[in-house]
Amino acid sequence: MNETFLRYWENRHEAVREWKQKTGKKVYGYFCCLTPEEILFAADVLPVRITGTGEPLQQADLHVPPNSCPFARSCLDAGMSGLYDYLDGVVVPNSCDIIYHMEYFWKTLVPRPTKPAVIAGVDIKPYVHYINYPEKTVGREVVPYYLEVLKGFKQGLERTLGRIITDEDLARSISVYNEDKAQLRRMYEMRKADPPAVSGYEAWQMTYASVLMPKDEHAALLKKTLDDLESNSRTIPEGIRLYLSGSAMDAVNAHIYKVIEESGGMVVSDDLCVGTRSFWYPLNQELPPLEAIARRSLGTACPRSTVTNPIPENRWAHILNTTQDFNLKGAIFFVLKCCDARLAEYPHLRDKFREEMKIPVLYLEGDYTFSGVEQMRGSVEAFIEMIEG
Amino acid sequence: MLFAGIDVGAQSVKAVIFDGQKVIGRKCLVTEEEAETAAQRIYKDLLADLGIRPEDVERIVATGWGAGEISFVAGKSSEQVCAAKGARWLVPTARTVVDMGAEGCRVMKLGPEGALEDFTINAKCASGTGSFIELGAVYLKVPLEQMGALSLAADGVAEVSSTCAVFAESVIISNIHAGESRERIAAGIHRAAAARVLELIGRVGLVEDIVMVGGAALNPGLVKTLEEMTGKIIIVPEHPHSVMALGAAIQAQKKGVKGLKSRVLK
Repeated sequence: MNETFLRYWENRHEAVREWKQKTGKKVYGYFCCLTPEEILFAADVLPVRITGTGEPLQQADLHVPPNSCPFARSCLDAGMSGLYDYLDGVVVPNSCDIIYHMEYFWKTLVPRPTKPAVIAGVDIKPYVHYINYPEKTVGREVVPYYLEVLKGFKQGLERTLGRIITDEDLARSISVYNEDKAQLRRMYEMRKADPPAVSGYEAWQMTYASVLMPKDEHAALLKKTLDDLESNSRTIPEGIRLYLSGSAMDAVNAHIYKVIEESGGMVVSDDLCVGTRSFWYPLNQELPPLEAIARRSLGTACPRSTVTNPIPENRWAHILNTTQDFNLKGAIFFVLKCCDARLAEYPHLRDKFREEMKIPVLYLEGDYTFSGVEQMRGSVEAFIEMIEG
Repeated sequence: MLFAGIDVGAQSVKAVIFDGQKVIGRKCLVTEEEAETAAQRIYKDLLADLGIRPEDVERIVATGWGAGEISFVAGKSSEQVCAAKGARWLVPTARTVVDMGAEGCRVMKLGPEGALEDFTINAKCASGTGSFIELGAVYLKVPLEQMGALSLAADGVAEVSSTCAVFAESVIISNIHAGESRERIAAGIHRAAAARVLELIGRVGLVEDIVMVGGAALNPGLVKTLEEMTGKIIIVPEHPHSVMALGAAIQAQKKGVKGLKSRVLK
């Protein structure tokens, strides 16, 4: 594993701080892979995904009830305790029910490093940007509406940063993002081999680095790593080929990869937001840049959006795209407790996996702690033994 | 050819010797010793009881909570697979297997041919386990073995929470203070435990025949309560607590059982 990737994995905050000091550039935090981070990158800003710590909470429970998403609560707690004090701004999209509240929480509870610029009661240089992502992501009215939302977001950024973001900036950003997506896709193609050229855990670590590093640096580094992997043969332990579907995959929850691999399994593809959902679909470079970004963002197959009730067709379509040719023997759903969006779709997707793909499904309920993931070892071992027959 | 299965449970260790056709012998030991010592002791004792030399046993497989700690076995097999294999061998029509031990409860769903298809377990909750009923026995001051009979003698059911074993404890005490009969409280405790099992069954979907194994299946009050709540007959094989060890012995017939060392990726 490349040392730079490992550094982001081991201490993401230190790595980003160092990058910021070295380059003197701005860093924005964001929630969710549907955030149009291409616009931030176009403005020479590094977008980094906000994640939690898995540690016991210090402050957040006073403001967010404990029977809500443990990941979101941990993110907020990290913000409140100053772990994200290097951020120059935060972007909150209207994704799931708990994340959209982060606009208010982050504004009111997290110390802000910059002073607001209030004119007539309006902060013209906002620190927290809210993106009113539509509830339903398809329909004639959706793209024009969302384009207006993104124009507003872009203008807010321009005021805050004191610079104009041109179409050329956006187009350049899109081509960088597409190159990174292409390299990540290439990595997944290499996982179709049996045994895969990259283990599930390694692949995840490299994907995780992509949501924390500048995409151009990441793409170049990933390309080199994959080139090296192609030219050097090495042995990946054999394992039962599995699909991993889950909520909020970060350094805490990703311990599940280790548990799976140590139990004789091997994740070869996934339906994760730090995973296929963050890169699978390239942006259309034929379109006006902002529209390409809008369509990419709307195309994110997040469980929080449904196309038609009660069947989330876009979710199944994404799963089909990311399971085909991976020769899967089973699927693991690793769902955080209180993740309503995930829980609501689970029975439907479970049945489709069983009936249409003819593979067994294991359901694991996460509590966003390392020890909680460790407790799943018995079930994972039994599931793999069950598949082995 | 002889095979052995050792089930290292949270409270007791069980061993079974199996010849591929029938169970040659079985032994159960409630223990507070560490897993390896207890497993060695029960295995040696069982062999001595049966007059079998250690070299006559072809292969040993361990299962259960402490299986990973046992050094003298060929490999380990999961609780889910062993409980399913053991139950299906004893009851060839088994499609749903409920296994309730001291600290764990799991429900396995089997295909028509007996292959394990799905399972679910109690996660971080003791209220659907044997130790929950044991705790009730402590508060009611009755031996655990009598809890089932006590509940069957009840003329009604006292309300006992099934959401949390610790909260249930305070409800049991309140019931005692309120003058509820021990029989009715015992019935309430069984109902609370059975409600959690029912929830697990609901997750995999109930298909008959239903077989219950594990130490808690020795409790007729619990089995009766589950039968009432599911509206189905529940089959309890003889020696239900040693079914998982039997499953491990069945697994020991297979060559190439998995080693104990986890495969760690470097």
